[in-house]
Amino acid sequence: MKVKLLLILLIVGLLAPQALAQDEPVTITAWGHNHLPRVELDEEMIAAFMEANPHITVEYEPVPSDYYATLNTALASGAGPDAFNQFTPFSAQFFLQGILAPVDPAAWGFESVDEVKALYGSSDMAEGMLAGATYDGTLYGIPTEMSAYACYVNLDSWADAGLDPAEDFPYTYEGMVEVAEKLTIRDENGVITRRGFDFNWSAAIYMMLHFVPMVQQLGGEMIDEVNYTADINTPEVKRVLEYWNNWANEWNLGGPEYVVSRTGFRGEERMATECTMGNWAVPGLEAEDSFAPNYAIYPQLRWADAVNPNGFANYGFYWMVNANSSEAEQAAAWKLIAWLSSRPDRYLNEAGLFQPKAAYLESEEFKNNEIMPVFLDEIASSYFHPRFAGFNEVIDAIMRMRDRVVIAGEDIDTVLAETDEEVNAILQRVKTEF
Amino acid sequence: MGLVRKRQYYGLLFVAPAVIFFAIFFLYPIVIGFGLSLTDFTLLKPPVWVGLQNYQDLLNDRLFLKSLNVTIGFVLGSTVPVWVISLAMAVLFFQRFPGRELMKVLFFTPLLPSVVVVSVIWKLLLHPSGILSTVIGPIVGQMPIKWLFDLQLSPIMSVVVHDWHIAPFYMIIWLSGLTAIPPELRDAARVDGANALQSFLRVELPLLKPTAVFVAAISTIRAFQGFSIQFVMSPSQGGPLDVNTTLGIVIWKYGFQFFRMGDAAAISVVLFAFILIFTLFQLRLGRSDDFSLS
Repeated sequence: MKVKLLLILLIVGLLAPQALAQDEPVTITAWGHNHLPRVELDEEMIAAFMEANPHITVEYEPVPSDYYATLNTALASGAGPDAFNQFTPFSAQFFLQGILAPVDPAAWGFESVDEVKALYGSSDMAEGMLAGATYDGTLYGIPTEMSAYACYVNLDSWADAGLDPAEDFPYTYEGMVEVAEKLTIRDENGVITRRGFDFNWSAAIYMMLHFVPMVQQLGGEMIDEVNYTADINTPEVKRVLEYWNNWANEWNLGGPEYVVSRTGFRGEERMATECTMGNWAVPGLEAEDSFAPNYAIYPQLRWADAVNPNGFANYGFYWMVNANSSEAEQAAAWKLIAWLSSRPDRYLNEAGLFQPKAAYLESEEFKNNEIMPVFLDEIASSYFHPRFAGFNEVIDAIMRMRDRVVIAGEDIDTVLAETDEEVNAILQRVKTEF
Repeated sequence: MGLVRKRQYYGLLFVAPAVIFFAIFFLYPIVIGFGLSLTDFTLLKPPVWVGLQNYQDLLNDRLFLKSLNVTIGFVLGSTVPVWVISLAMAVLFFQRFPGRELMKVLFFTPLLPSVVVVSVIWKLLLHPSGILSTVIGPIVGQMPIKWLFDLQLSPIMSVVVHDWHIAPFYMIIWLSGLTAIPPELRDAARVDGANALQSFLRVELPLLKPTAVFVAAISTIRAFQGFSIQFVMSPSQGGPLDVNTTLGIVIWKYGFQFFRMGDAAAISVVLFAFILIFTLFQLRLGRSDDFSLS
């Protein structure tokens, strides 16, 4: 009897500190970029999380602007957050510098990461959906938003031109030239007042998300994220660049001097077709707005002779955890992330953000969603944009390549050769630097 | 003697807050910035000492050399024309004429909004199908006018917007300088038979020398630091093709876009040196007797 009592006391004694440790108060910080619908939902979810886990205090901070510079600077100074939302192409340098902590399955009550991955479907499906945060086979993040873009058409603008997208949507870049000409309206001076379709010329990232897959469709690959090399002086890149150049200068269907294509579509211009918006754009388009278009969604354009099926580049925002945080903070941060990824229905319906949880994809609600099949098809057929350190520097050089041809009218072969050399030099430098 | 020493201590005590403030918020960052310029620092890894390598690399850095060129162009466009325009406006408003005060207020208005607001407004005005294209396009026979996308026109528009915005500020400075000139000197010149132009060139302009030095120094420093107009108004923050990429923009780009803090710090030091040299030169010019009455 005494021995039994001693054993019980021993077991209690051994377990007690662990139980106490589990309930030890911990405060974590979580940062995200400022996508307002998501921020409101995050705040509500985090409040509920703290209620369910009273020993964890979450200081949530949506960063209003310059998110990535703020995040990097904070991490550099040691004041970085424990959990942060990260854009997939930018995560590579964090991985190289050991900032990312691997996913902790214990936060989901699992023993292995494979069980977490299984939440995102069969192994092939999960691999695709989680590829944006996987490095060397290790998973470092959980998607809060997966995105690929499709084409939004303004049905009224198409009708004005006597076109019906159900019949006339071209599906190919070659076909879009003719259709866009019909949709384009010019004033008496030849100035375009409404574009039929245009690229998003505004920031380098939009160019990359569109330009790189156009090259991939033709069988080219501009950047090798594993070996840190670039292959830019190729017939595939030349063909895509010639198309962009002709679009602005030869066919005069748009160009960098016009308002950003998204603004053109949502604004007074009533641009007929815009292909750089994800499903997240729907809540904004359906909000009360005098210029809210009567729209439909069509697949991304592809080359008629494409050898690969991808449309636009996939990208995602993933919740990630700071490897420099303490063990307790990391555990609490993953617990928070598990919580935040538990309601894909709410994130889609209230914030327009797609979290690819397998159970949700199988739900009746998702199956009845009218627009998501188009985006899901795009995601399934496309690839993540290459991720590499020095991302901004490389895309700056590639945008300069575009502008040297489109704006300055420089010789395309010379520009391609010089850009190839420049980008390879950047990649070789950052590979050692980061 | 004791009292004098006590007074000296009081003096030190009173200036201490300003000195401490200066040391913490100005001197310390300058020293740290210079230290960083001697390292490779990507923000996420500790800085690695490289000595003067970053400075050496700048000699072959395409973007730095381009931005240096752009900055010199912007400094030229944002100083000499501004001095002339603002002085002309000040001389005009120094005269008495009906509606002068109202006109003065109207001329001063461009200075009231922040430079960011000014840049956004001008960006809209300079849109290819904006009002300026609509008005000027038919006159020059070119539609649309790519104000901000033309490689020659775009940097000129940055200068125009800058000068339009800032000239009223210097007009006020010149006006205060003109007001400080004793009226007897103008009267004496008039009595001696000088006409208005002669009086201005021989009497007022030389006496405006301290004001001129101030205007020249401040406007040059501001122009070297040019950032906001190019950042907001030009496509892709300094484009197209970096024709609006000033040293200020390239520092931001290298530091917070490319995470090349060492290079960004080296460019900051170079910019600091430029500003220091030009300011010292202007102050020295101001001390000389080149513009004296004698």
